[in-house]
Amino acid sequence: MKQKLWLWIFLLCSLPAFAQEVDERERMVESFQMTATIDEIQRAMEDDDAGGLSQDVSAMVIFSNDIFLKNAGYQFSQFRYRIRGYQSRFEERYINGVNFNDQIRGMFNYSAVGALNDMTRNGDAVNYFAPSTYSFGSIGGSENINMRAGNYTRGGKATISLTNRNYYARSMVSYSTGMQDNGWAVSASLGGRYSHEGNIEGVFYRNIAYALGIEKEVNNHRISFMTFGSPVERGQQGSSLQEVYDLVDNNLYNPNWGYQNGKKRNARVVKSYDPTGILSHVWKINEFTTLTTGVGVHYNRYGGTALNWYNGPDPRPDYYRYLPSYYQENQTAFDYYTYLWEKQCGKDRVSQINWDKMWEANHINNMEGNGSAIYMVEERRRDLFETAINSTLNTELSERVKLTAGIGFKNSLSKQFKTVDDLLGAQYLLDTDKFAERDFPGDRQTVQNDLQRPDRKVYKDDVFGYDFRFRVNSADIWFQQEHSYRHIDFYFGSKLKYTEFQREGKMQNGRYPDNSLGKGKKHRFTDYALKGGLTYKVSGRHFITGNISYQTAAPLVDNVYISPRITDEAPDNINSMQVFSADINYVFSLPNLAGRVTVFNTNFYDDMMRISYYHDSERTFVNHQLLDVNKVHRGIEVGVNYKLNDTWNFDLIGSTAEYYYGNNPEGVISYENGKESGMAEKVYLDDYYLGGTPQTMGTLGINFFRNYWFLNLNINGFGRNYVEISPLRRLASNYVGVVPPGANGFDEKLYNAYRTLTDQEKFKGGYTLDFGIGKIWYLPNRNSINFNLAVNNLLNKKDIRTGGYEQARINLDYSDRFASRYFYMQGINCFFNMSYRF
Amino acid sequence: MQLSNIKNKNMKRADKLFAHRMARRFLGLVVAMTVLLSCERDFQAPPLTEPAYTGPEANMTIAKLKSLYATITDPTLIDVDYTIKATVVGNDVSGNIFKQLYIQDETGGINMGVDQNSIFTEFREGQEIYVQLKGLYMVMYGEQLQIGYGQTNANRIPWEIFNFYVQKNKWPKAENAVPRTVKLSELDETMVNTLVKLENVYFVDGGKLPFSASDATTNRLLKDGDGNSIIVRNSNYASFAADMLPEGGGTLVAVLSKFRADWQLLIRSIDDCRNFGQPIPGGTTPVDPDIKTYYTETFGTADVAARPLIADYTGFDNKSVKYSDASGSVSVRTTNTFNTPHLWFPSGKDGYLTIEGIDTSEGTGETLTLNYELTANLFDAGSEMNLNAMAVTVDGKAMDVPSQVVSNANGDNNKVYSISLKGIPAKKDLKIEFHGKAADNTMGLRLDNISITTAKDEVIVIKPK
Repeated sequence: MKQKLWLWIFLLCSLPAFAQEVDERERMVESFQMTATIDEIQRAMEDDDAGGLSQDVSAMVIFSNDIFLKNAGYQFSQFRYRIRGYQSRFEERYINGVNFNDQIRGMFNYSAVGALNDMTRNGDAVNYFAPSTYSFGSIGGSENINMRAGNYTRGGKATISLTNRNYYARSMVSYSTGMQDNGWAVSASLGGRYSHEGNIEGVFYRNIAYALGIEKEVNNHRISFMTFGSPVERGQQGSSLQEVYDLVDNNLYNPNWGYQNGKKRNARVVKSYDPTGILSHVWKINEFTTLTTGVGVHYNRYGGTALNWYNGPDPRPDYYRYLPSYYQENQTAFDYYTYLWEKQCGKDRVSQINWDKMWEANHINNMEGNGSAIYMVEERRRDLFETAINSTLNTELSERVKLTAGIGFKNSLSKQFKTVDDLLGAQYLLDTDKFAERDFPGDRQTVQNDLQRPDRKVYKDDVFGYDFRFRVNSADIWFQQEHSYRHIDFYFGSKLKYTEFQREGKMQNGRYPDNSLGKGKKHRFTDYALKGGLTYKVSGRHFITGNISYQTAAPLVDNVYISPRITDEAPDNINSMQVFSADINYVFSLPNLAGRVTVFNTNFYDDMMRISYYHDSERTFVNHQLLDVNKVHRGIEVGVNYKLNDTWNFDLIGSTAEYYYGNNPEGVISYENGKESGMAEKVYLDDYYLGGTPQTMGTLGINFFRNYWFLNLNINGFGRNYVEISPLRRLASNYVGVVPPGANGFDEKLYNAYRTLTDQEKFKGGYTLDFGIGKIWYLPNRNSINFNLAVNNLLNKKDIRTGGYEQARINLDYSDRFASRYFYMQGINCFFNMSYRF
Repeated sequence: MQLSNIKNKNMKRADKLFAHRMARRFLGLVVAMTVLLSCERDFQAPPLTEPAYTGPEANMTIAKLKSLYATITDPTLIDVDYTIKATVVGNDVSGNIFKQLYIQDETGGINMGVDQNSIFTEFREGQEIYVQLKGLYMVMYGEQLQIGYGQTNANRIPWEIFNFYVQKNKWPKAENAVPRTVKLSELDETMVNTLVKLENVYFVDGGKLPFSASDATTNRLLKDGDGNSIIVRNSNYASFAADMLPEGGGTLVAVLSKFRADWQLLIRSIDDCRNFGQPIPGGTTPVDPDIKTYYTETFGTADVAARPLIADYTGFDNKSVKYSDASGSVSVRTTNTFNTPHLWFPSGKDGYLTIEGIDTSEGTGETLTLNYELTANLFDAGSEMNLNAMAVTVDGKAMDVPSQVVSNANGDNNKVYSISLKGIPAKKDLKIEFHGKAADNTMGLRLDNISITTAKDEVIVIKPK
């Protein structure tokens, strides 16, 4: 019995928050422990409630243990699966009741809580737009991560993990006092992850994390403070071309690194640090009413480095002119380039970045030229300072009616600029725009990045290029009311939100002298949302539910400006997008069989997107903004668990859907060098699929549990993953000279190029196997040791594309010259985790 | 009972010990990782090793190489182990030379076509190189030989193949590229593709036109004091393309190249124009020191992006005379071709430039002429008009303006015509009026560079500039 109790405590503590990103590896490891025993949880709850079990309660328990979402979150994350294909801005994340989706890109920054898994494990997840106790919610679901010190169980835990992914070692130690008799609770955690080089060449990982929380309970009040941070420095992987992957015979080839003085150096390094503090107050006003108020303050220092070059050859190894295919017409050159790529890999002079050569070019320029950097490393910063306040009232109006209402405020300051990270031996860098220099020769005004400080020489750590702020403020008020009766439950709710944002330029840009410096126009939006849902309880084991919602959502500040780095210009008619979403579900919970079957449909209207790319023929960076984009997401979801006996149970989880563009939106092209602005042309997107996630995904899980041994095997199937399409290729003006077969002037080569360039590639589907094993040993003294090992992609398949995007460049004469760039899944990979509770 | 109790106790102690040991081990690991994490990875600058060539010595000269392949027409593989030693004298440092490297030795110069941008970052002026020629191609282009490659775009050498055949020796020193001082009258074939220096030369359009038009490679004429001239070929992608040609006489350093029968000069960077601003050599100068000027108006250099009307414009050279336009239709403008301010008389409208208060009294006793420049807007094919649409009145007296029909068909678009009218009185407070006649000015006229000077010996009334 005692052992069983400990099993519960362990399981409850390790119940994953259902987010896929917090730490997918850990999730995977813990998942099978959970799936093996989900029925036991349910049974235990039923046992505890024996006698007084009401159907209302069981419906809630059943819904919140959604088999599909629990499995999809971790099991599918390795395939970059996004639930229902939604953007992450439609998934809400709260910590202690305070909203933590940033207002710039709309996302929760999971790296802020990296290696703090012991602290973030307790979450209150809500499926899709279902009612919650802390938020109005969102179509992609929401989760409130509970980080109040008093909520952690008394005791400590130390964990060591070994893996062969981006990092190879992780350690974490945490200790919590639990809520003590004197009303105080303290909880702390320390963690770290490290690799000098992970599985992918050039990718390293260095991270330390800390968290400290304190809570005091006085009468009906609980006041808690939690602070945490997880500074990380990591090397990034880059996508590349199939030609390159084939040449080096490695689908995990990384073009971002090269040798500098014999040492591997990654040109793309992310340095991020998010110190966060949350003050939270829970006031239990009476037996039926609770008021939760929280203030969250968060500063994110985020920077990513990248190579930049001025009047020098492109230093990126996989630039198309450095590949054999560029020399198709000359066999000798083709063979020689192939030889260099294939056989010189060890030396990596050609297939990787050649840092030494860049240092030499700068050195020679110091001796014989002007001393300004030809090559340098810049750090592009996106710092964010955010303050959020949320206050939520939970009350029971009657035994059958619950009301939740709240208000929220959020203030965000985004600072975006770049700094000189490494001049690679050059004396200085002249702060002018290289693209403008090419298009406006002799024009010393236009080329300036800052007319206030023309022809400025910049040095290490100086801000240059661009420097601007986004200020975003929002306020919202919402309520939802839940009714539960014997055969029917229903809820409805509404939300009103005001958003305003403004850009402030800190530099007067030579391309936009009149509208780059100072505060720009204020953009204001008022949005609303309505939602409702109904559950019909056929019996205590069968439920039919339906949810419907309609909302408007202000565009993200990041997507609104045509070229935010250098100008305040934005389209005239910026509208909030509209989202209509509905689903119908059949949920069942039989003694041995439980699950859900769902049909869903979501329509997005008038979304805004901005794509930036290098335009080859114009030789400049281009911002391509799409207005009034419609998208449709519809499909079915199935999640079923079958329990054969106490030892064996099986999961079948899957979704097949269509996520596609629903219209031909207007696109506006602007050149970052200022030569052209506001060129409008329709983009033919209608019926193309959204890329980046498999539209069919499923898994069959076989789970075994006996004597605290956990084993599981998952067979994952995936398919219908599409390349992300480039709007530039869908402009009619690119194909003016192309005529269809049969017409006068038909040119088969041109016509085929047109077909190739407008086609959308569908990635090969397939299946993988994952295997997991774990064991818990219980020691007396309430201590326990646990280990688990998860092996993913057991069959070591190395040809699974998880994502890819079309390049924006077009050359009708060489339609395959600018091929798509892809990401691949890692082959066999493991995660070993050992923890000790004391 | 007792026994089991003791056993139990022992077990508990053992467990405790085990637990402590485990905890310590874990904490130790955490500490170790923390230490590991806190060590910064820093990169050391790579050592900069001066290139040192170690291959076979040179056994060929550029002049001899050229003579060996003098008769080829198609790209021809070099199949003998020739090695030349040469110095880089021309590269793409300013973008004027594109995907070419000019190299020379004591015997002559030759260019190499290379498929790479910004070659100069690695092959600077004065860089000593060795080229192993076997495997490369000799290419005949414009009746001149160059080192290139077979079956590639423009017969350029693919970059990595270039790196395979070409080795650097020592750090580059600009002073290694010594130009040979030559005279335009003495050019000969041995000088092709070498660096030359021309002293006492001037650009014919110095101070008036930029090095290149904005949309295409442009040839400009360079002359010496003896009237010999040569083309200076400037790319519109050159960093100095929009700069004005330097005024006056000076020294030009450039790569001397030849395309068929045409000699041409390629400037490597704007630094190749040295010491300009000296008196123009020879006597055939556009500015005759014997000619005295009593009034000149170029409409200044102000920014006229807003296209101000005459009444609003403040950038006139002459502040003491009064400019007016009764019609209000004449504006001050610049265009891509005429990039200093001038007056625009729109078509189909009467437009005036009335100048009052000119003082020519010092010219008493001399024959004075009024000079001005007219350009008709003949952009559209088929357009045509007569330049006498611009009537001139001096002190109330209508001048006899010569007839000159200009047309797009004749290539007169953007062509500047200089007009000189004799018989201008020498007096204080002279009044001159230009009148673009609505009926005759069918295409629009540009008026610029008005002056009153002593007449030349032979006054040409109207001529294309």
